[in-house]
Amino acid sequence: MTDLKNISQHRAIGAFVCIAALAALVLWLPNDVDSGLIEKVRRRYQIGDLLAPVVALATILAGGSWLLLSKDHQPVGDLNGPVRAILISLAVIALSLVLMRWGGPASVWIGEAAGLVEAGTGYRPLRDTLPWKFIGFLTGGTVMIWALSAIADGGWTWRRLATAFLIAFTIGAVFDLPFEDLVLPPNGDV
Amino acid sequence: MKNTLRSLATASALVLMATSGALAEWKPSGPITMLIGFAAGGGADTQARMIAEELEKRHGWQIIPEQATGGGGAKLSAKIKDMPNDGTVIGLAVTETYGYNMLANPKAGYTQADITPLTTTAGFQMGIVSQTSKGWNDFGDVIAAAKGGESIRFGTMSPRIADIAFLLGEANDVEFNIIEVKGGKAVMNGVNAGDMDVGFMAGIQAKGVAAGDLVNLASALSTPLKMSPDVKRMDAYGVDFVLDGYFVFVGPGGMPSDAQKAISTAIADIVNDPSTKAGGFIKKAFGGPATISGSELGGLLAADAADAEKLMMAVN
Amino acid sequence: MGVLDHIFLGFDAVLYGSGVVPVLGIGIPLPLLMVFLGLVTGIVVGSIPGLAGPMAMAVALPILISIFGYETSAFLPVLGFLIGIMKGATAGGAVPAILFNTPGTPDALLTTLDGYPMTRKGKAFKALRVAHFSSVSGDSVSDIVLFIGAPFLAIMVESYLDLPEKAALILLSLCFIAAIVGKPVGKGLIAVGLGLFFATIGTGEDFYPRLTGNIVELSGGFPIACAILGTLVIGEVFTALYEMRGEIINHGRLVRHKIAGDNSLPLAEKRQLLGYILPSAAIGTTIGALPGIGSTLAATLGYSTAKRRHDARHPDDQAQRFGSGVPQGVAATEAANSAVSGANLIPVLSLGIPGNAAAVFLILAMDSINGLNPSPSVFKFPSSGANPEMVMAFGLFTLMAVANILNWAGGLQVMRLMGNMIHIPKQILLPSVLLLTIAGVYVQDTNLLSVIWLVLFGIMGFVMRLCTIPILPFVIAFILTGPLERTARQAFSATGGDPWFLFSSPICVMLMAGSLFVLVYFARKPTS
Repeated sequence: MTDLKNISQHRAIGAFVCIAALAALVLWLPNDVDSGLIEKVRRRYQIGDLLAPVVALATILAGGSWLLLSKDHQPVGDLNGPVRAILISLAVIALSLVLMRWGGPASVWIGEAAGLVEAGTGYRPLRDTLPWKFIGFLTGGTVMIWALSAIADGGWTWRRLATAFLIAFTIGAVFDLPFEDLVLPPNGDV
Repeated sequence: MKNTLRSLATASALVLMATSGALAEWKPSGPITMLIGFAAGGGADTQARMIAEELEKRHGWQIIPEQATGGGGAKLSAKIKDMPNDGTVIGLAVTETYGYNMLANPKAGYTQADITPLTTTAGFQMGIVSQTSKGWNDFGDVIAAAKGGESIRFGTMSPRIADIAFLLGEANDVEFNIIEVKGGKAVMNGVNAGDMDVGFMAGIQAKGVAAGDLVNLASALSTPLKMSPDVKRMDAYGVDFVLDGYFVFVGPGGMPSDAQKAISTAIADIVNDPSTKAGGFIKKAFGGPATISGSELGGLLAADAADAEKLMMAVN
Repeated sequence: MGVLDHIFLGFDAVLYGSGVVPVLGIGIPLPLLMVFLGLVTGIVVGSIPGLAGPMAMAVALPILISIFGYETSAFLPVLGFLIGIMKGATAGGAVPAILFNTPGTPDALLTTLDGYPMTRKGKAFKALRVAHFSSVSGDSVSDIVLFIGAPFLAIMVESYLDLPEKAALILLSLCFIAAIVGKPVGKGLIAVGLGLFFATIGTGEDFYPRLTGNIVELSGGFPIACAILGTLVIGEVFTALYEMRGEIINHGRLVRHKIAGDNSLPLAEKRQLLGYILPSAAIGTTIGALPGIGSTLAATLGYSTAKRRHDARHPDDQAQRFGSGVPQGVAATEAANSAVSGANLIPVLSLGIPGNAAAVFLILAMDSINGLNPSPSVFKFPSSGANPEMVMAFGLFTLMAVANILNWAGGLQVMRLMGNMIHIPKQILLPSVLLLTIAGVYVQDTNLLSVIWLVLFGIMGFVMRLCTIPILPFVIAFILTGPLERTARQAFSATGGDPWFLFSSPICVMLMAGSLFVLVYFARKPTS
C-alpha cells in the first residue's frame, strides 16, 4: 500500500475509471443489451439501445484519460480511514435493515407462541395493523440512529437510545398518520 | 387516528372471522395489496386509488395501493406472479401487457398463465390524431400529403402501434418517418409542439378534440370513437388490425374462483356506477366504463395474443 | 375580448369560482387558502433534509383529486396547492443546503457552495435571509414576465426549436456543466459519464431493459429519487460521519455551528445584492421559458456567471471569492432557480412540456382535472367572447403571484423556524436524515431493493466526494439522459435516419459548435 499512497491522485483515479469503463465496454455491454448501436427496424434505421451506454462510457474514458495525462502531484494519501469509516457505517445500516425487514414477522411469531395472536396467522395479514406494522421500522430505525450517532461521538447511552426511538417514531408517524396510503418499510415487501 | 381506528377494526374483524367459521360472502384474509403499473399522480393512478377507496368503503376491505411502474407492465407482472393468490394481491395494468408486450420480449419472465384476469375498467379511445391547424379532415388527407412528397412524422407510443403505423404506410404505398415514444402523453406533446405531424393517442386527445385544437383522423378501434363517431376505421385505409385495449385488473395466477369473482364484481360495480368518485372519474377521463370479466376477458386476452403474433408476422 | 379582460376574469375565477371558506369568521376564497397551505407545506418539506418538493407533490396529487374531484371548480384549488408546494419548496430547499450541506435537489446544490461556509462562520441565519430575499425576488421577476409575455413567448420559442435543435441544446447544457463545475474538466467529464451511464441502466426502447442482468425490479431504471437523494444527501451523510471522526481526533470533540455575530440583512446590503439577483433572475426566466431545460441549468449558469463577475472584482482577496461563504453566491443561485418556476409555466401551459420535476405534477393535475388543456390554443384570442382556457391560465398566474406575495410576507418566518434545526447536534441529525430519506424513498417505490440502491448511490457520492469528483454534473447528466436519448432517437427517426441530424440546421450547428467551444475553452484555463 505504501506505493499506492505516493501515486498522483489524478493518475490513480484516471487509471481506475479507464480500466472499469473498458471492462464494462468489453465484458458487460455486449452481453446485456439486446440491440446494437444502430438498428434496422421496419426498413428504417433507428438508434439502438447500445448507443447511449457506449457514449456514456466513452465520456468516462475521455475524462479518465484526461486525468491520466494531467500534471498533478498531489498523492493519494491514506485510504484506511475512509474505507474503515464507510465499512462501519454500512455494517450498521445492514444490521438495521435486517431488523427492519424481520422485526415485525419475528414479533408476530413470538406473539403466536405466547398466545397473543391466533396461531398460524403470520405477519402478512397484520402488515397494515398496529402495532405490528410499526415494529420493524421502529426497531431498525432506532438502531440505525442510535448506533451511527454513538459511533460518531461515543455516546452509547440509554438517553441516546431513547432519543433515537423518539426520532424513529416521529418519522414513522409523519408518513403513516396523515396518509393512509403510504407504506413504510418493510410492509410492501412481505 | 383514522388509521389506528381502522387497524383496530380490522384486527377485531380478523378475530371474528377466525371464530365464526364459514361466511357466505368472500372476505380477504387480510389487507389487499393493489399494485399500480402506472406513474404516481397520473390518470391511471388516480383511477386505481379511487377504486381502492370505494372498495374500502363498500366492503370494508383494507386496500394498500403500491406503485409498480416500469417496462409497460412487466415489472408489475413479474412481481405479482410470485405473490399469494388468495385475493390479497391485485394489480392494474393494460391488456397489451399480456399480448404484444409479452410475446415480443423473449425475456419477459411471465405468461398469461402467471396471472388471473379479473376485470377491465375502461377502454382506450385510440385514434390517429393531428393538430386541427394542419387542415386534414381524415387519414386519407395524410396519405395524399405523403404522396405529394411531404415527409410525414408519425408518432407512436409502443412497438405494436409502430408496427401498425408501418403497415398503414405499406398499404398505401407511402413511407412515414415513424417516431417511437413512450406513452400517449409523449405523442400528444410531440404533436402539440409540431415535432410530429400525426400520432396515435389513446383517449387523452379527448380534451383537445373537444376544444377544437386536435382532430381524430381515424379510429384505431373495431368500433367508432366515442368522441368522434363519424371518423373511419383503419380498415378503410387498408389495415385490418385493430388496437382495442383496456385497463385491466389482474391477480396472481390460479386465484380461487370465489375470490376472483368477488373482486371482479366489486370493481366492476364501482366502475359502472357513475355516482361514485371512481366511476365519475373514469367517465370523464376515459370516456366511460368498459367492464369485461370472467371467461369473456380470458377470451379477449387470448385473442389479443393471437392478434399480436399475426401482427409480428405481418411486419417481419 | 383582450388581454385585460381575460386577466380580470382570471381574478374573478380565483375569488368567486371555487367557493369561499370561513376562516376565523372571515370568508377566504378556497384557492387562496389552498395556496397558503401549499406554501407552508412546501417550505416545511423543502427545509427538511432528505425530503423535496416533487415528492410531496406526488403524494398530494391523488389525495387532492380525491378531495376536490375533477370538475372545473377543483382546478384552481388543486393547482393552487401544488403551486404553493412548488414555490415553498424552492425557497425552503435552501435551508438544508445552508445548514447541513445536504441539498434535497440539484438546484440547491449550488446554494451549498457559499451557504454552508456561511454557516461555518456563524452566519447561518443571514444566509437564510439572503436565500429568502433572493428567492422571492427572482420569483417576482419571473411572475411579472409570465403575466406580460406568456402568450407570445411560448409560440415564438417553439417555432425555432425542432427535435434536432432540442437534442443539441441538451448536449450543450451537459458540456457546460461538465466544463464549469469540473476542476479539472476531466473530473467533470467522469461525473457526466457516470450520470449518463447509470441513467441508461434499465431504460431504453428494447423490451429487455438493458444492462439489468435480468433484475426485473430495474426495468424502468433506477428510481430517480434513489440516484439523486443517494448521491446528494446520503453521500453527504456518509462524508460528514467520516469527518466527525476526524474532528473528534483533532479537537477532542465535535464542532457545533453556532449563530454568531450580526445575522441581519440591512436594506443597504439587500440593495447591493440586487446587482447579483437581477442578472440571475433574468437567466432563470430565460431558461425557464425554454421547453424542457429546467431550473438546475438556470442555477448553474446564474452561479457561474455571477462568480466570474464577482471574482474578477476581487482578484486578490481570497476571503471575498465565491465559494468562501459570500452572500452573493447564495443570492445568485437562489434567484436563478426560483426565477425558473414562473416562466416555466409558459411551455407548461402552451405545450404541456415540463421544465423541471415540479412542473410534471402540474401537468398531471391539468390532465386529470377539467379546466385547461395545455396546448397553443390556451393563448389564442377568440373572435368573440372569452377564451375559458385563457381565463383559467390567468387564474393560475394570479395564484402564482399570490404565492409569491405570501412568500414575501411570511416565508422567512417559516424558514427561520425550520432553521432552528441547526441546534440539533449533527451526529444525531445525520443518521435521522438517513432514516427519513429511506422512508421517503420507500413510500414512493415500495421495495427494499430501492433502499439498497439508495445506500449504494450514497457510497458512490461518498467516494466521489473523496476523489473531489463533482456531484452536480453526475446528477444533471442522470436527469438529462432520458430527454437526451429520447430526443436524439426521435430526431434521428424524424429525419428518416440522417446520421448528421445534429448538424441539420444553422441553429443546430451553432449549438454544437458552442458545446465544443465550452469544453475547449474551460480546458485551457488553468485549474485554480
